[in-house]
Amino acid sequence: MSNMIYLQSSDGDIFETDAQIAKCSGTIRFMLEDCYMGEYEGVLIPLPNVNSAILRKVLKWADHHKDDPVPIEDDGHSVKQVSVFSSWDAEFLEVDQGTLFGLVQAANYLDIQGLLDVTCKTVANKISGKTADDIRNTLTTNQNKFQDFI
Amino acid sequence: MSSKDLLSLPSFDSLNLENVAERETTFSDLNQDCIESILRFISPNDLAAFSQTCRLYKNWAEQYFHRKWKFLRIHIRFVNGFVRFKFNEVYKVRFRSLFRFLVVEIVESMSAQMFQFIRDNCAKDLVGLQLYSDTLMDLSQVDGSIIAGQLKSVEVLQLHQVSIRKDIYSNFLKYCEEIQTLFIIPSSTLEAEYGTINDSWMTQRYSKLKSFVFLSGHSKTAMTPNLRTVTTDQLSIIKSLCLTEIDLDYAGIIFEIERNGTLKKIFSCKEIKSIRWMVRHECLTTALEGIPEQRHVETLVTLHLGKTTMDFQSIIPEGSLV
Repeated sequence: MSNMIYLQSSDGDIFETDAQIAKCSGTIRFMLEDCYMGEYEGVLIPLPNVNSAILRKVLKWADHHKDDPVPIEDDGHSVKQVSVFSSWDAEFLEVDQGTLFGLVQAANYLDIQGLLDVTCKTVANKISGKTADDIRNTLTTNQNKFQDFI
Repeated sequence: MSSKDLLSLPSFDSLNLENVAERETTFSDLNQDCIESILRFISPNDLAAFSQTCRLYKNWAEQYFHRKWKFLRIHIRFVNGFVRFKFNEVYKVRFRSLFRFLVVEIVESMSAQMFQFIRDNCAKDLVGLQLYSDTLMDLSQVDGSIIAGQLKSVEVLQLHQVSIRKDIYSNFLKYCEEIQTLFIIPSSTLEAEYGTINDSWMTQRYSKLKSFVFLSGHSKTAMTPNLRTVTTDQLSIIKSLCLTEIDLDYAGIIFEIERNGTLKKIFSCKEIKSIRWMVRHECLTTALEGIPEQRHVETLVTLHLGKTTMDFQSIIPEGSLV
């Protein structure tokens, strides 16, 4: 049974996707199950914090990981299981920094733990073993400096 | 305002979110939640470097360190009144005021300077304190009230080589209102067997105590309704706890080989979910033969310690520290 829903990005583009795939996002799952009580065929969900380019990437990631085991609910005490970093993910994340940070932001907003883990790990690798100056230079561009230097 | 001016105003369409959406996301766009997700994957030293990039991130990094590295053990050596860190890493300078779990090695004798250093430099809300010494540690020598405010929040206290012939309660333990794990290794078996033990600390009630580790000594113990785990070499402590209303999750027994016959009695007493045997001597197979049929015991771990010095870290009950 197909259960297609529609996601609208911040720039107005509409993406059609299977509800099962979209449900890897805690935010979307919550909306579908709680707000539409399971009757969500053809529903349109606006995502004002995610632009088209990023949403396209997120859906690509979600589609590839649709068969991953569902992570165990975090009870607040146990250490969160960190998703395995596959070679597919590594290749998927060979993107410019803007896209990478966009994906971190989207994974956080959409509550997709697996995507948050791999993207954050990628950013963390850029920070590891560097001095403060190196970190600043790595994470910023000429147009965009950290505002508030010590 | 003429109609021409109106026309020259930017249209609504060009002002809309599209421009915002088109702008590339930068690192500074990430909120605290996102940044903390990233910080999960970096070491304390990298966190220290990150905290120097800008004031906002310093603040966030410190908040994160305070929470995430709550139980990070910081080793400090006190040598003749001087302080030495075991490894002199960057974060130990940067986050000094956030240290909440201290492992303090005392070379030579105790001094008030040591407590003054802790009071002036480390976190006001300590969670763990471990004091150990090569020689006899006499807690009655120094004034525990110097760090009374910090002891108040301590959840894990470990005292190694401490003299239990002196009063360790009124000068020290009484300040530890939140104590959950108490770990006491007296200076030597000999001292304990010598007779004149000051056992005032054992007869106190520690209302939040869950885990109690006590090697060499007395059969009396602080019994609290919350006590969940016990590790001791005194079978009588476990037996007397089993006779009360306390259900233990865990019992660890360090025993000499000739004592294993008495272990059977423990299994028939009360429900203990997990039990760990730690054999001091090398007759492991003989020890295993002594295991009775256990109805209550879910897990049984046999650890061979050999004759040499025990690794005390390995006998901390699981789950009692984190």
